[in-house]
Amino acid sequence: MKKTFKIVAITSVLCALAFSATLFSCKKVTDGIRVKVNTDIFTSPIGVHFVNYNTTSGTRPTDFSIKISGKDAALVYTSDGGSNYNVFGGFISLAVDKSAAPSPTHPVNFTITGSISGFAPIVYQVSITSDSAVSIIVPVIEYANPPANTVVLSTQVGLTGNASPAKALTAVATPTLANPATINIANGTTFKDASGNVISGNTLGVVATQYGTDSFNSIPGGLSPTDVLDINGSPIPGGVRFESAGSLAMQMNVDGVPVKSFGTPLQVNMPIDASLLNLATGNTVAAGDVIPVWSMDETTGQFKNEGNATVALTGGKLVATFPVSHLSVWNLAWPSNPCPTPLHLTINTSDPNYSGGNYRIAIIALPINGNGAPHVVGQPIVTSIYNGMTIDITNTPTNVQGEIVIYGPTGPSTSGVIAGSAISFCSTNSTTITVPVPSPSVAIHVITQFVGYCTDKQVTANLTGTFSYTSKTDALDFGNVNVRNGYTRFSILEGSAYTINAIYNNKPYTADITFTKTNFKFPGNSSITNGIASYDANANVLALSGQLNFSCK
Amino acid sequence: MQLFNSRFMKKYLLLLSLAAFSLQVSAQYVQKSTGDGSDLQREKSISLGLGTTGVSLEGKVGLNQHFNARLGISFLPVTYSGPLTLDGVKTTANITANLGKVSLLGEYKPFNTLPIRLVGGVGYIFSASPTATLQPTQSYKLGQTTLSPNELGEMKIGANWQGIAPYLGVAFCHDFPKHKFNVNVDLGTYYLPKPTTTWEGTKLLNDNQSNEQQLDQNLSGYRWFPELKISLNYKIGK
Repeated sequence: MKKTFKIVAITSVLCALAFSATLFSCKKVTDGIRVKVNTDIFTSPIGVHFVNYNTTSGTRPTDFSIKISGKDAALVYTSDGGSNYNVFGGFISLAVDKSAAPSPTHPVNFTITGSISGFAPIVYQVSITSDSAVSIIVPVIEYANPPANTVVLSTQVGLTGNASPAKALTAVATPTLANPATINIANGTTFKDASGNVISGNTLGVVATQYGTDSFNSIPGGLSPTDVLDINGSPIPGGVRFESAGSLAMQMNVDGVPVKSFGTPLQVNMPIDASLLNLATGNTVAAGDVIPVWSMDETTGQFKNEGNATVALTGGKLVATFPVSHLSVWNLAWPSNPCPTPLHLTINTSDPNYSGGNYRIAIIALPINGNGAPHVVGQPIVTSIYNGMTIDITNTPTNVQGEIVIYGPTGPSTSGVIAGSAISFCSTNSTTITVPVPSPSVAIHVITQFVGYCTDKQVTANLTGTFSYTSKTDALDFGNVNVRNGYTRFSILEGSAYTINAIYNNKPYTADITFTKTNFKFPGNSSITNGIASYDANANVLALSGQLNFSCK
Repeated sequence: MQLFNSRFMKKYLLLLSLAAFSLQVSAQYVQKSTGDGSDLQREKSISLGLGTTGVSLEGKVGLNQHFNARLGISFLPVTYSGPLTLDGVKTTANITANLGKVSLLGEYKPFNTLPIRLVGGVGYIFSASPTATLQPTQSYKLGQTTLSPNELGEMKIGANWQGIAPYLGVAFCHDFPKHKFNVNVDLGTYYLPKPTTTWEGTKLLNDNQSNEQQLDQNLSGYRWFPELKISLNYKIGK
């Protein structure tokens, strides 16, 4: 009995131990597992590039902060959900709250404002009309190197008793802007701050930027503002389209204190290009014509009609004179009602598998009755393209003959028009343009898997937002890719070298990549870590993967 | 999938082992006829068991002096609802695991005098698909956004061990009751099929399917299904 009991007991214990050993030798169930979280909680991804309008200047806007204001500002975030809008490398990625559901009839309108040392103030109005990705180029004027058809006046005036002597301030003429505007300051003019108090000081600093006909696209506030008040202060439904005759942005300070208004209004003499078309008459502008005057609030981007200026013939030149009672951007422009229905543009590509590039789509208005000259209307649309994509172009002219042209893909500084379509604006509701794109032999299809790696939790975020790729040598050679839950697909020229830039949690993550048909690792100095590229020759696809490390606490 | 690692299961095993030892001490064994087998009748019994594989119902028939055959079915319902932390990710979990099997086993009695049998055979696991529904209970900061548990969604993770599972073990006490009732103890293990897993998610957690491959690897070693069972046998016939 005893012996039997021992045998049985020992056998049982050995079996139990064997089972326990098996249990403890099993791998931990959660080893190597990270919970994946998608991040596509916003809509309408917006990639914004700030670009020196003078493409020959070596100075690029780099790191600075901007503000978002306007009617729908509360619906606009950075693509990672933040409201600290910091630009890195001249680029920022924005997005819109999904509840906004932007459409042509219910657009999301906001204004981007910012200040870069050495550059004119930035005021740019944005209107988002769909949940599709949008690329925006904001041209900025460098005071030291203004683009053609733009002059910058930078000077100082000595004050006596906090008042100015009589002064006529005129910028130096250039070959492309031969007749700069003159700012006339009356004797005894005092200068007031934002509260309306006279500022005490000895020196008045003046910086004035005059935009000529070829630089109208960089006018602060743009040429198709949606937030516009008439002369009575009532909102103009749908905004207006401007046909500008000249624009002047002024900044003044007394001993460093910003000036907002004057004891005596300034008088501005603005020369008018005689070839301009007067929309009101249908003829080229002439003496006696009236041009509406608009001021823009630089903090909100709102335009207001301040009255009219009459064109006079002075010294053989056409000049419009108007009073300036407060400092803002001043624009002489004929307004027109934009076409109430959007123009539906469909783009096809010569290679149906192509997706990517950096194309500009511009609207050109042709002379009316032979008067005026062809000119770009509104802000060009900057976008990557793919076969079958559609764009709704809003705020087109009404009853004007014109065309849609497409500049392609290596940057507008080096490319001309590659495709186009004649349009009768507002009569034509839709058009299709086929764009020639790089052949499959020189283009690589790129797919990505970029993740956010939580360093303090076993969580990985599949990133959503706009990533940019920018050439180090050509400031206008860049593109945006819309990454959704880590994934995107685009096409790029073989051998091209770009800096990839992603912004997350107010920090830029970059990698310098040369796109080749090989396998490679991202350079060691990349802040996008564990970056690798794998090339599939059969499919001509380069798969990029990498991670952005950050804390999730 | 944490079933076999849970503290609950380990304590359960230990308690049943102790119960088995105490029963063996008090069990009596009866020496059976060791003649040429011609005077043996086919003994039959039916048993009701309780053990690590749940509640079981089994029929047994003696084939000869040394061999018996067993056919049975068992079922083990497991549910859990409460907090569960998945490597730093705090969740509320709802776990259900209904484990069911049928088995066809053979017993071999190597000793005429000792009440020990070697048991081997095969089982079919017809139900072994535990699922865990996990809802995060804390917010997560990603970038400049804080995602609430409601925005995140929930995950549903399942594993499946359905299939054929061989069995090997030892049985203690007499195989058939001397009179009408007796008690048996089984100690053995099933070797389950390699499990397959599913990982689904809702809302922002709907892209976790790629974790299935890693989870398959992690669970590939979880194939031993130990059985410690105490059965009450009822002898059919004389």
